[in-house]
Amino acid sequence: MERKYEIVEHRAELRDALVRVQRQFWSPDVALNTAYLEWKYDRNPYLDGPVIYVALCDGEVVGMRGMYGAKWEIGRGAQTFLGPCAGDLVIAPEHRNRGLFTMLTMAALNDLTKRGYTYVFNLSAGLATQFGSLTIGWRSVGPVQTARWQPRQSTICTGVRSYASRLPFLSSAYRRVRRYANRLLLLSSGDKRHPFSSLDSNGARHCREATAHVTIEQTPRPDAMAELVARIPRDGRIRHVRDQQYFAWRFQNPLAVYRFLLWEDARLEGYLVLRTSVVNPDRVGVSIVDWEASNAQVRAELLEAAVEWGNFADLTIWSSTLPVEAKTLLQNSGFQPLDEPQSIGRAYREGASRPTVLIRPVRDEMVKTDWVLAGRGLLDLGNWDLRMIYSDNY
Amino acid sequence: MSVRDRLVAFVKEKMEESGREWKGEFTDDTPLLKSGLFDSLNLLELASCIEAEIDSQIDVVSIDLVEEWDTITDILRFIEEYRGNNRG
Repeated sequence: MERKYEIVEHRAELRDALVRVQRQFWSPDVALNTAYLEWKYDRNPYLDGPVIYVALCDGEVVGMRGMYGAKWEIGRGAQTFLGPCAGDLVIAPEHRNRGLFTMLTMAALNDLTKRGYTYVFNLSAGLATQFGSLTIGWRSVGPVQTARWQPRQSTICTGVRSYASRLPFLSSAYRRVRRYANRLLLLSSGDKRHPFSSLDSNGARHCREATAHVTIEQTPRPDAMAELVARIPRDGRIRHVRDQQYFAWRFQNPLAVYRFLLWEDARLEGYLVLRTSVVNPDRVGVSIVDWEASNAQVRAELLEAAVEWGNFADLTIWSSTLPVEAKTLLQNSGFQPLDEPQSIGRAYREGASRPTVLIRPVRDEMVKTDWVLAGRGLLDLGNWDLRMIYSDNY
Repeated sequence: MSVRDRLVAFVKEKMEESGREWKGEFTDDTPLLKSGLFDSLNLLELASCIEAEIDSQIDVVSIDLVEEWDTITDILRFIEEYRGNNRG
């Protein structure tokens, strides 16, 4: 039987159904999903009210796509513009493969055209969304390289595991030994479900030293962080505005846990923000989502503190657009480029991730033109200063 | 089985899985993308299938997918041109 779908704009009476359908994507907890929706869409500082498109089938909510507000700056004169970001695409399993992705996206673009926007972005598209988007006028700035740090014994274990998996008898014996070893590690490592426990205790111990410049806090300092960002000379690349308003809102995300490493002397000279997920933190790992400093020494000390105090199993950062000095610091600290497939097809086969930035003009007639703002091509990765904090995956 | 036969079998399998039908005769020039017969997940699988045929990875960012992969004819032409350009 053919199903009839309708795309409508969000209304208050649909909210309960939306947070339930998002149990497939955000978290299994409806209260947490409600808090997340309220933070991201109701309290977003860049849009007046939630911009969410809802798919209905016979009056029942079966899917949604959100557009959350974002404010970008470009050029050395810091020209700013509002460019919403697509996110939170979810379609109930029994309604997939029926064209709802295209229906939701085109409804969003038509509406955003009426609202007067020029471009729309997506910094969190999964593989299927990436591919589907490319067929309806979106373009990719390019895959974003991720660099990853692991403790030395992890890289050795990874190599041993890879070798053992190719020898059937050994792989079985290896699995038994590994399970035993993991149980021993679990007993000795304390609270394995809190990725920041080592960072918090090591940081507290270090902060008591008289010469300590780096402290760890659980909440941001929006004023000081914004003042630092404003003080550091701009290179004109496209980036999200990071002012007091942004910092005050951004880290209230209820699906994430953050830690703020702050380097201070007379004033804040640098910060490094770590993030993990409230949902499955062990599986998600820890990421450096923002990292800013007034000089290279401060930048280096912040990274050293994160790596040495954190005792993390895994630490990642988007490294594509970092300055050369920062990339060198990462390399010297043991970060290596993650082997992410350049091809979407291969990523799909391997179940790998492939972060990318997607862009589209909201008007169809602009799709075949050059996509330029303030004289900079939007599809040139060299024109972007990309940080994980801009993406709603973090 | 020829490349064409494998592609047709793949396309028909995906259409059956999604419950979609092409009204009229399905030919090598039936539009898969422009008609909405194929959605984003099917496209992922199609990309994987084409990469297996050419034994290489494709940077889809550089391709106008709707122009180059819309029909069986288009896909076969893509595969032939790729093989021709990459013969040693």
